[in-house]
Amino acid sequence: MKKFILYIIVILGAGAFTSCEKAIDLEIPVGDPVPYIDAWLTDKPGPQQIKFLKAVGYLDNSAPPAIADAQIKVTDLTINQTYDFTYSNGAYTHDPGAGISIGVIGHQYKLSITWQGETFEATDKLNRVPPIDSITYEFKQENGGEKEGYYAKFYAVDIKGGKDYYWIRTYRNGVRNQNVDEMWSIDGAYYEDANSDGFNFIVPIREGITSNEKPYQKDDVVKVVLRGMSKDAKEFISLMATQLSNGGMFAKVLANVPTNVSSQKQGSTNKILGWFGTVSETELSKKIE
Amino acid sequence: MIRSTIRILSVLMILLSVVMVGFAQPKKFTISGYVRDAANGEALINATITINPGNATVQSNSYGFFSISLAPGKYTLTATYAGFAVVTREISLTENLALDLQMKNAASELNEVVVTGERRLKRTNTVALGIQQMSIGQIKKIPAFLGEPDVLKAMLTVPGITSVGEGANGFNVRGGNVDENLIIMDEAPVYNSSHMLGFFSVFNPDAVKNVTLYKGAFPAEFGGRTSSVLDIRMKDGNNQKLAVNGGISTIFSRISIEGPLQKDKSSFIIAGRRSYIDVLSKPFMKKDNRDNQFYFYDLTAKGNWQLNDKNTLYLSGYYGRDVFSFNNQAFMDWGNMTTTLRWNHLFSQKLFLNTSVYYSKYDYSLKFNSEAKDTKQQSYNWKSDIQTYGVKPTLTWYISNKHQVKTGVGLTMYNFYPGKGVMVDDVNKAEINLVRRYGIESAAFLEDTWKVTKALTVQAGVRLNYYAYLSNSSVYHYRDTTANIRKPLDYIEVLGDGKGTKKKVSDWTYFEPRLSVRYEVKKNTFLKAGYARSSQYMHLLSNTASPTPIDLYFPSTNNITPSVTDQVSVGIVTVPQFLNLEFSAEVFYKKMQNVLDYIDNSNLELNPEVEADLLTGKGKSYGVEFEVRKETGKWQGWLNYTWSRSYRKTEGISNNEWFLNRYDRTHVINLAVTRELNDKWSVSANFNYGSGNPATYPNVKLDIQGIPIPYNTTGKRNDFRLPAYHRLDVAATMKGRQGKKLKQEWVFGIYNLYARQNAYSIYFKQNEDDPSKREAYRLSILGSIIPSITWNFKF
Repeated sequence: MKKFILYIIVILGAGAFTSCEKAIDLEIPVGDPVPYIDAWLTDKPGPQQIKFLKAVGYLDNSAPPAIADAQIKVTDLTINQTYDFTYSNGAYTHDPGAGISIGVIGHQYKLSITWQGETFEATDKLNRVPPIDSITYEFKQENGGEKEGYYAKFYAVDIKGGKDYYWIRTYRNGVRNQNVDEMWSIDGAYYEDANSDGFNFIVPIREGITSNEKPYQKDDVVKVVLRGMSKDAKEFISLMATQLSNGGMFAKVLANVPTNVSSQKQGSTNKILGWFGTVSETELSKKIE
Repeated sequence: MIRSTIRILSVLMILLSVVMVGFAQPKKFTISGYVRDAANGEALINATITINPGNATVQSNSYGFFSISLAPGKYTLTATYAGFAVVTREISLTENLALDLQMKNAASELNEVVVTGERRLKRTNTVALGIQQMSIGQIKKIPAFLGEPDVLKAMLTVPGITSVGEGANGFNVRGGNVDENLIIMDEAPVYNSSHMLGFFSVFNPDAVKNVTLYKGAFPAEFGGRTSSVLDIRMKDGNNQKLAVNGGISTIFSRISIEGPLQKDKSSFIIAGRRSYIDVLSKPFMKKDNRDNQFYFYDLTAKGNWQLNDKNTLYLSGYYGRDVFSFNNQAFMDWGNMTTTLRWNHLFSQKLFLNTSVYYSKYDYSLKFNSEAKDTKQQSYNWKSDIQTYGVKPTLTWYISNKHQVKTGVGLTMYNFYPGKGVMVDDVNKAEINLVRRYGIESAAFLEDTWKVTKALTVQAGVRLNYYAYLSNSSVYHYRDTTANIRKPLDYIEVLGDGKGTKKKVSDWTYFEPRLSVRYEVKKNTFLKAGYARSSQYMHLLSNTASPTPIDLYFPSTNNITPSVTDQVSVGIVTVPQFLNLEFSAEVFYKKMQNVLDYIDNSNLELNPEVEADLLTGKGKSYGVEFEVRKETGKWQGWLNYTWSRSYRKTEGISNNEWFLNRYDRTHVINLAVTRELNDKWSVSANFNYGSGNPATYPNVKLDIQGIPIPYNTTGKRNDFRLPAYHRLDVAATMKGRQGKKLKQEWVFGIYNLYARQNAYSIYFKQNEDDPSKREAYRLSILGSIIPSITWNFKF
């Protein structure tokens, strides 16, 4: 919400005084190649993938190297069943077979990584998600901060009862639309205490799947993926989203995203970064015609 | 609470009576009166009155009043004031004497007389260190952004005052945070001093008389903030004749009307401004956009009534607003409102009482609607405010030429309304209503300015502050946890439904010594030293580079201990006999306790449990400031250099080590010069250089779900710096035809003359053409030169 408002102000206010943004060369000493995971299990049927990687320099555009010598498994704590993930081609994969999901809404999961003689664990709960009801779009001419193009919106309604946490992702022609923010929501809105149970996803989120800078063009396919997640995962996603869209006059200080992976060895200071999350997923696509 | 106020008062009363007994005097007579501008009756603040033989000096107070007591005899009285011709009176003192000193603006006199006849010692006639005073005349001479003279921007040219960049809200004083500045306009606190984010200040230059910034040892009468006090005094209004001042500039217009209500007795001033970028840009906008609004305005009004020789009343008020709306979908407005009623009462020629009663409110509201044609209508409304009520009687007692005592009490009530958010959907309604929080601050102070010897003056004061956090609704209690992790809620204590009597939740008492010493080593060379302790009970919750208009002020509570700062400073000032220049150097060290910080993923927006996300840490800053000033002659101006550091240390942040504050600027150079070319033209220039602000950059990325997440493996905050900031502005003023009635002038200005693109911040995003690539981007708020023309008139 705040970002939305400030964006408006910057366009109207600072914009009037010829503010400008320029790509620059910046020398930043590269940090240690810290190990991290990219481990998000979904309730979708078929193979699930976990990546265990080493970080590269922030402005380094090469692919991060994979760590191949770890044992990785996921346990469904609710039914006490363990799934082994095996390494091949840069990722650890488990394939339960076509049409079968290892992720079930309401179940609790534990990730175990054994690496260099140390075991690391993380847990999460797989939470529910509503369907996306529709995606609409309209053509707009250039107008103030809005460029000419097609502006899409999506409609979804928060599931009634309980507090739900969502992650909203946008794709353009099959690729993540990097011009819009990764968004998150609590019961369709932004506030833990608003009691917005059962709300339509609010306007800034509804309209947040289109970038004013790069709206959609004819024949583009807009896909919205809605993920239901746990409260802890929402903390991770919201901090991540802040870091990604951080800039401008009201930039916040860079803060490191937390990790939920911890070593099981007493007194160990070794760390694996990243987040183990379990999510349910719905999606909807619309072609601009 | 009341009991402790009474206790504080009785301590003061005892102190005062000790002082009275100690200073019993042989028979003397008192000369007292007011110093005023002859042209319009405005009281002149801090004019110096010198009486010879004996070289006794006294300065007029904020209402132009002065008092001095001498043995019977013949004397020469001299009154001096920046920009005014010296007034001299021969006095034969055989009884108490009441004088009204009318001073004439130097412009209407022969300039040369003023120039050679007087050596004004600005830093030398104040006892305390770190006082920067600017007259509105000086402020108007500095080249201004878009030709609009600006009180706060002018202050950025004095040593120790910086901001984080163009358009940034607020200012930083000697390594302190933006919210540590007490900004008072006719005694009422102003919470947001900026229009249009930080581009303009809310003070209308046509209505301002005098601006004083205390950045070192504050006088005991001020409290409640730890970095500085910016004391802005509004004009009283011309009590001689009706006058109209105004100006039309690139961005807005201003007009003020002032005049006598009853000649010599009472007067008024009303001043207003409105911006019109929206009006001007309307024809160039698309039809859909013409409904967009972005403007601000402010109104300042004041009246004063001299009831009789002993009583004068002043009533002043301010109302300002910024309004933005966009596409009929988003609306936002914010603004300050203040009212002050003051009563000056003379008990005797030696006893001056001012009682101020004030009210101040800052509020904002946000509103969003879905587009009119949207199938699922939604709206969102958010309101927030902070209100302050206060009363402050202050007694000045001109005991003798050796002692001048100032004492008083202050009571301030704070009402914090973090806000209410209402969301309405086609079928649902959701609401967050954050509880109002209350604070009460009572203070008593006593300060003696004591001329110990001819060369040594001591200003010693104490201030006792009592603050209580009050509530009549929910009070949140948290458990301790690892630093930098959200504190878990322990329990909510319900003290009422938000309507009943307020109960005390927690309270603090602070004893704040204030001491300044001035020693004249040799003629016109002074050594100074000062110490001040100050405490603060409210904090601006802002974790962004520049505060936004929707950031909240939050009181000290059971979870947030008030912050306390100790500052020591020493300095030297000299005005060599052979040069018309003032040289000064000041060194300061500040120790700050309980400075507010935030956990990494803090949620400061409409969060009832916001206290769980707050941390407190330590701070320190130190530095040295050098300045050369020339305030008379055809060339005038100042050059200063400041070297300073500002650090903080918060458990859980930056590996628990000291780190630089976001607003640290190690080296700062300011140069402001004006030159009178002839009767028609004058030119001015302003140069500013500052080390880049510290910044935190990521040194690795975590590629998670296709998202390049920035990460810094060192965990250190503010380990990098933005490129240095520098900028040159110039302006030329041409006096137009000076008619009998209408006087006019044109001001041509160029801001950012060499079009420097100063980095406001550096951040990272994907390459426009190849989104998989991350690149560093530099944001410059001003990307080019900004010319301006302003037409000022007066009749």
